[in-house]
Amino acid sequence: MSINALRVESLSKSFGDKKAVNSLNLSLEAGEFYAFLGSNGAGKTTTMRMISGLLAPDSGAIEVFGINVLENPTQAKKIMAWLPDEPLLYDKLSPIEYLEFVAGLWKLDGNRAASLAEDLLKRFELWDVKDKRCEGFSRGMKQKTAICGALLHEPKLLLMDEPFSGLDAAIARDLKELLNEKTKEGATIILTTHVLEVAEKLARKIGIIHNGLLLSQGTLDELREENNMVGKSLEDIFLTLIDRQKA
Amino acid sequence: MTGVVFKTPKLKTGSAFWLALNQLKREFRMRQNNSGAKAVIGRLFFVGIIMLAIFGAGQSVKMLYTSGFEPGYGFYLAAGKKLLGLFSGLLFMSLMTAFMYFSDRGDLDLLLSSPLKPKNIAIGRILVSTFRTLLMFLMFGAMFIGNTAISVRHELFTFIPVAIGLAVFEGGVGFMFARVLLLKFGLLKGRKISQILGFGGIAAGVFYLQASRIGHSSGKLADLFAYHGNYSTTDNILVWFGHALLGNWFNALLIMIVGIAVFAIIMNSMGDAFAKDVANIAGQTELSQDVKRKGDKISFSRNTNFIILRKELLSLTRDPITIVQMVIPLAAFVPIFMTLSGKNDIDMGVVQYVFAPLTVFATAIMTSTLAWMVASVEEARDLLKSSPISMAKIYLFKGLVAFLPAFFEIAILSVMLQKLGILKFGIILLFTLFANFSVILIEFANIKPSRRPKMMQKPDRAITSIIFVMLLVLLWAVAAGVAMYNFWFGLLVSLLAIIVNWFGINGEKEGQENQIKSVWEKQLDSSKS
Repeated sequence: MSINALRVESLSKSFGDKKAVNSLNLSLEAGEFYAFLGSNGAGKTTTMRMISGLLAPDSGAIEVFGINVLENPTQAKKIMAWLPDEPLLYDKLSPIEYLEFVAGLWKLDGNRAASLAEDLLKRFELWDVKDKRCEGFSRGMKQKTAICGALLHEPKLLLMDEPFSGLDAAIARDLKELLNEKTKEGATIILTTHVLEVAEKLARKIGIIHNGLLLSQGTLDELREENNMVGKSLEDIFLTLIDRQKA
Repeated sequence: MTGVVFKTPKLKTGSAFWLALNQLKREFRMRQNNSGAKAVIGRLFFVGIIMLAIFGAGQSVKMLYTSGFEPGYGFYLAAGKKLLGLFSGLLFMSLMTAFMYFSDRGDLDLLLSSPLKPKNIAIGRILVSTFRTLLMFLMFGAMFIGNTAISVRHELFTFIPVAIGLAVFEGGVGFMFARVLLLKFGLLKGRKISQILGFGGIAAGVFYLQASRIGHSSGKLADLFAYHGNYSTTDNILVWFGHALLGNWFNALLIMIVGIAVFAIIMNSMGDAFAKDVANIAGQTELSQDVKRKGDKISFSRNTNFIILRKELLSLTRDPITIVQMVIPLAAFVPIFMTLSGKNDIDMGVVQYVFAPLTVFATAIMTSTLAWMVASVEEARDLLKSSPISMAKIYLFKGLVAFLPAFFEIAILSVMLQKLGILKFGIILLFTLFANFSVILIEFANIKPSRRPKMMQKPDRAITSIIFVMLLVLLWAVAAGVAMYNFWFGLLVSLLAIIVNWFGINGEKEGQENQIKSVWEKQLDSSKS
C-alpha cells in the first residue's frame, strides 16, 4: 500500500468568530506539485501553517508521509520545509551563517550541508554576497536566501507561500526549474500564488479556496470539467468560482 | 459629498516646522503602545517619575538657595563644568540622531517627490532630532535647578534659553558632521561610525556626570556654594556658562541667539544639498562589510548546540543596542563603585547596602532587555518553529546569551566588590543570579513578537513584562540589600519575589506567547507518555 505524501482530513481552524479553514480535505501523492489559489484572507496560509506544524488546528488530522503531524511534530518537521511569504532572515547574519544555522536546526551533516549550501548559493547568484550581512539585502536577495534555507535539508514536502514574489525573471525561471527537478526526484510541493499563470504552468493539481472552504481541486482539465467550463482559462474558472461563492 | 474634512493646519503647510510637527506626532503615536487604563497608568507613572526627579534631585540645591547666602564662584564653576559634560555627551548624541533622521528612508521618497524645497525637508528632520537633544538638556536642567527655579528663584529659569541655544547649536553642528560622515563613508559605515561616536559620547557624558556627582555630595556642594575666592583664568569661560545657567539672562539669551544663528547658517548653506546627498545614497542597496571568514571554501560546524548558541550570540553582539545596554550601566555605576570602594576611610559596613541593590538592579535591568531582544525580537520565528529542534533547547541558549553580558559586568564589578569580603560578595552574586534568572523567565513567558527597534526607538514590549520586571528587579534589589544585614531576612523577601515571579510566568495573553508554560507542558506530556 502506497503512503500519501500528504493527507489532510476535515481540517478546521477559527479565529474568534471567523472560520479561517472549514473542514478541508486534501490528499497528495509523492512528487506532486500542488498550487493553492485564493483571494486574500481565503485561508491558504492558515492551512499551510497548520500542515507545517506552526499552528494547531481546532479539529482534523494531518499526515505527512505517514507521520501524524499533530502527534509527532518533530518527526514530521524533519522532512518538511516552510517558506513564509515574508522572507524572515536574521539581519545580522550573512547567508552562509544563516544556512549554517538552518543546517544546525535540522541537524544535518556539516560537510554535506556545506556542499549543498555552496550549490544553492551559486545557483541563486548569492555566492558573491555570501559573507555580507543580510541587513543590506534587497527583498529579492532576502527571498533567495530564504529559499536556499528551505531547500538545504532536501525536504520531502515543501510548503511555499508566494515563493516568486520579489524575484527577478531569470531567478524566478531558475526556481521553477529547480522545483520541477525536486518533484521529479520525489519531493512534493505545495505553493500559494496570486499569479495564476505560475499555477497553470507549474502545478499538476490546483486547489481553489475561499472563506476557508475548498471550492474545487484537481488538474486544470478536471477543474474545467467539474465546473462546466471547458476551454476556459484558469483565471476564468478562479473568478467564476469565487463569484459563485460570494453570491 | 464625502464626509472627509481636512483640519486647517496651525502651521504653514510644507514649512520645516509643519514637517517637524507631523513627524513628532507620528513618533508620539508610535510610542503609544497601550490604550485605555494602561495608557493612563503609564502616563501617570511617567509624570510621577518626572516630578520625583525634579523635586527630589534638586532638593539639595534648593536648600542652599534658601540658606540666605548668595552662591559663590565655586558653585558657578561647578555648574559650568556640569554643563560642559552634558554638552560634550549630547553633541555626540546629536551627531548620531542627526544621521539617523536625515538618512531615514521612511517617507523620504514621498517627501522628495513632492514640490517641497529639499532644504525644508532637511530642516524639518533636523528639528525633530534637535527636539530630542532639547528634551535631554531640559531634563538635566530641571533635575539640577528646576525645583529652585519653581519655588525660590524664578530667574533660574535661564536654564530654558540655555537649553534651547545649546540644543539648536548641537542640532546644526550634528547635521554638519553627519553629512560629512555620509559623504565620506556611505550609508552603512557612516551610520555605524555615528552610532559608535554617539553612544561613546553618551557613555562618556554619563561617566563624567556620575563622577562629578560624587564629588558634589551635599557637603561638597555647600562648600562650593560658599566659595567666593579666586579661580584660574582658564575657568573664566566655565564660570560664564555657569552664570548663564544660574540666572544671568544676558548670558542665557546670548547663548540662545548664537545657537539659533549657527543652526540657521549651517542649514541654509547645506540644507539644499540634502536631496542630492541623501536621495542618491539612500536609493541604493548598500551591502554591509564582509563577515570575517577564512578562505572561500564553506565549512559548517557539526555541533548543533554550538551553531544555535553562536547564532544567538552573533545576532546580539552585532546589534549596537547590546553594546549600549552594556556600556551605559557600566558608565553610570563604575564611578560610584570606584569612588566608594576606593576611599579607605569609608565605612564598608554602610556601603554594602548600596553595592548589593545596585549590582542586582543594574544587571537585571540589562538582562531583561537582552532577554526581550532574543525572545520577542526573534526575526525568523517560523523557521525555529518549523524545525525539528525542541523549543526548550532554543530558549535555554537564548537565556544563556541574554545573561552573558550580565556575567561580564558582574566580573568587572567584582573587582570593586572584593573589599566586602568573599562571603558578602557571594551573597550579592547569589541574589544577582536569582534576579537575572527571574527576569529572563518573565520575558520568555510574555513574548510579544515585535520588530528590532531602530536606534532611539522605544521597544515594543508587553506591558505585563514591563510591570513584572520592574517589580521583580526592585524586590530582588531590596532582598539583596536586606541580605547584607541578615541573610535569612533577605531570603524572606526573595520568597515574595518568587511568588510574584510565579504570577508573572503563569498568564496567557492574547497576541503573546508563553514559552515557559508551553515548554513546561510539553515536558509534562512527554514524562506522562
